[in-house]
Amino acid sequence: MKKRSADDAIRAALARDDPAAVELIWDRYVGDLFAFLQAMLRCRQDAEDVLQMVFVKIVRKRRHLAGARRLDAYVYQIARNEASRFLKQRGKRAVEARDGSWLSPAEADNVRREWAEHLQHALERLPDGQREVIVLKIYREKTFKEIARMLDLSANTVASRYRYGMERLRILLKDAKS
Amino acid sequence: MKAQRDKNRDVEQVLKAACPTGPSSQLKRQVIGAAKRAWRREPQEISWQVPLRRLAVSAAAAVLVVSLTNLAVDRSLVRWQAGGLRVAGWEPGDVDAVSEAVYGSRVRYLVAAIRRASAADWRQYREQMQRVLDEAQESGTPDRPAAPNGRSRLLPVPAETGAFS
Repeated sequence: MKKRSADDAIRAALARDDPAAVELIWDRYVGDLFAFLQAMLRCRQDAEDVLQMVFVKIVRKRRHLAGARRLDAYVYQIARNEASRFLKQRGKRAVEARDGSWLSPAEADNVRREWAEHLQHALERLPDGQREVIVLKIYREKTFKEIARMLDLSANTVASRYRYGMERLRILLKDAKS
Repeated sequence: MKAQRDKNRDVEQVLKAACPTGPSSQLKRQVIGAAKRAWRREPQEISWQVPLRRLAVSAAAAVLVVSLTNLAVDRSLVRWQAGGLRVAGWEPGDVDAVSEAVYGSRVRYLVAAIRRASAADWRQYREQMQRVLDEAQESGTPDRPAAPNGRSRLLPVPAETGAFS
């Protein structure tokens, strides 16, 4: 309900052509969007760059966004397209030495930092779709229905991606422990 | 099912030992600044501009399609035009080729009359011809209707109308 009223406020600001809509979009979407981009790009710095591109794109397409049937699906579609374009360009140019860590330990000590790295490597070995669903489900505490809505997928697809991803992760983490 | 859920719960607990980092306040300033600059640079389209632009694009597309079609047709007709286009036509003389076993002489007579009356008043001519045919039918179908004063009865008298040569 709260999310719906936030979406309504964004639509109203867009209809007024009020730049304050940018802040409203930030407050409503940035947490999930940034986690999603990090899961997709597997690099915090790249996710920061793409986040900026996503917001600029949202501003350019604000007329379409205001009329979109589902605001969240439209925003995530823009994010996905921008991230895909970025990955293509990154594949073409020489990869710069960037800080690849995007998962940080809940408590800062060396053991946990090392374990966070293991987790990150395990997550990176999953297919993109499975990794995105697991990150949104576990770290952003979204339901399958919400993830399905965000990514414009069916709830069954999201659930099966989650299940296969978790099975794969269990094996990978067991290997890491041993 | 329950065992599966328990296994997933274990992995979830392990995964929660770490989390993706959130955006910094510096990133927020940077992103919102860039977005607002883009907002100012690209004002929203005014509502009436949209249908106008669509109309212009449609018109341009129509002109393009018609031009391309004309070009394609012209190109495909070049080989026909090179040898000279021959068109089948009908000449009045072709009527001579019509052979009628029963009405042969009458048809030739009518054709000769038609030739002479190239600039005739067709309405008057038709009435007169109808009269000749009626008379011919009544009088037992003579091969050739009698010509008064040596002239064709199918043609109007020039002195009366002044329209025939």
